[in-house]
Amino acid sequence: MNDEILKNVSIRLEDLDVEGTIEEVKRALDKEISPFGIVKNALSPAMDRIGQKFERKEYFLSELSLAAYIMKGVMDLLDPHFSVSREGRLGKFLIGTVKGDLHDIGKSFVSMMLTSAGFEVHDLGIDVPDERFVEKAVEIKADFVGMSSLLTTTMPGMKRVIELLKNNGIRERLRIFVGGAVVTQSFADEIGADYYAEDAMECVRKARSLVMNRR
Amino acid sequence: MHPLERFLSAARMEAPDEVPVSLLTSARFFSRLYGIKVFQFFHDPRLMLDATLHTMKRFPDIVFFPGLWADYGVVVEPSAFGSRIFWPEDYVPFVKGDLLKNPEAIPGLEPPDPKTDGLMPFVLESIRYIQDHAPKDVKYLYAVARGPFQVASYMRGPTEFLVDLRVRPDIARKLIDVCTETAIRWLKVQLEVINNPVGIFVPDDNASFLSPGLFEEFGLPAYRRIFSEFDGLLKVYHNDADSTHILDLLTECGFHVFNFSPATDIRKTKEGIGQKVCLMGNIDPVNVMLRGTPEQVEAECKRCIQIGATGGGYILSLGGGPSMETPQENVEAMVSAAKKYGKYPLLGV
Repeated sequence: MNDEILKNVSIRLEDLDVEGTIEEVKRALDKEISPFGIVKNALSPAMDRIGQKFERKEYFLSELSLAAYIMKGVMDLLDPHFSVSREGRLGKFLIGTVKGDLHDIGKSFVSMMLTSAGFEVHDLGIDVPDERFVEKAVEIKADFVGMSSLLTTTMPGMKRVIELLKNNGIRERLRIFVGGAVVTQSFADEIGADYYAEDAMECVRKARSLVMNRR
Repeated sequence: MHPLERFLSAARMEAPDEVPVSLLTSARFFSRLYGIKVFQFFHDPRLMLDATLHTMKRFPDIVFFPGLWADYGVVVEPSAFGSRIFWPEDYVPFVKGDLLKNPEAIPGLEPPDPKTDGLMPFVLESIRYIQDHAPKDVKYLYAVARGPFQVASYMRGPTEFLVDLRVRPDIARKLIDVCTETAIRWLKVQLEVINNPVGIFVPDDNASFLSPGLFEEFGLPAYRRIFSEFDGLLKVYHNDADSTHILDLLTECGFHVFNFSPATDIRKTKEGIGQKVCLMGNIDPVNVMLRGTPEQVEAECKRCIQIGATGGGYILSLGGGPSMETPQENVEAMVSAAKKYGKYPLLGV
């Protein structure tokens, strides 16, 4: 019975059915399926399939945006239940587009994909001052920091943030991800980031495998 | 042939004497080359003109497109609606904040008056200034308006706009209609000011974020409406997002030249839309032009020419504006590659 409900959640989300997904999630909560179970067994596999459809060019940014919108509605619904659930999420992922850069779409998809994969995501938005990354990382005790840049002129912001994290003594306990159209693996290596991800799907795969290896 | 003649010949789908080379007019690249801050370029039409002429003189074999251009980046149309604009000291301006965060504001939205609203009258004045002060042999040729999808995305927020297309299609349609009408009115007012205009230029990257179905429903009618208004003029469309999935639909939009990015495969483009529309592209402006060596630039130009230039209707260019620090040797490598590999008649590969 529960398996069937979870399957329905997953199908509705993959089909980008806005109301249908919310209805099925409510049904799952009524049956006292844990929010973590809903994420892990229904939302996460659906988002993986949505990501695969995007890679195969069956879905486009218009569909990913809609998936993000549905996921936001679902997470708003699940959030109060998380606090009473004893199961934790995969880890705290702080993310933002660096200072001077207003590109939002790619970073938002990474947020969404990470959320659906089970991470607790804190999205600082765009044009984020260097210090804000550090303050927030300290405040929430982040496990991961992800930075996005789409301009060659704003890329150095990533390096500054990493320096600041070092100066504040928290660099070592963080896993740092960088991405965005102009960013490359060699740039990531050069500035001392831990991981470069070419797209949202790769970021999720890498972050998830880190957590799984640690557990 | 003179480089501009060569460009216009290719734009008419002909094969000129050799492959024309073109770069987009770029406030960033021109300012850096001329030794001024980008904000100065925008602030003073004299400097804008001087920096443009300086770059044209430095690279006489390149047709800068649209050439003389009162270019204020992506902010002109949003400013006319009332968006907040942010001017960095040494970069192009941004639209800050989403004017239409609340979708309920959209049904009452009206197109701005290009003669009085936002930066538009200021741009018109700059066009007049540049036209009056340019040397006789350098003409102001094109009216430019950002396309409806870019403008809508800036005002509503890119993700929100894409969600609207499915969740609130009526509101999305209204916003696209207003932005389409704005582009048309804005182009017409500029054409009244330009002495002997040759064409129009419509950049609109965000349209490729739509699925083929959504593009057919929302994109195609908007573009047809814009381009059908300007018969007799050369119509150039720029879109530097991956457009592979909408190439067939773009063919039906009614423009003559397609400036496309390396995200869109040149072979597929040549075999499809390239049979009807002149292709302008698609060297990677960052990974090849900015970060590559002259040898890498030459190899990539050779590849693009061999695929794109067969039969004519091809302009060697970047898939976007040149970055600020683009090495001059790489620009020169582009010019010499066109001379070396781009003499017509070309044999297909």
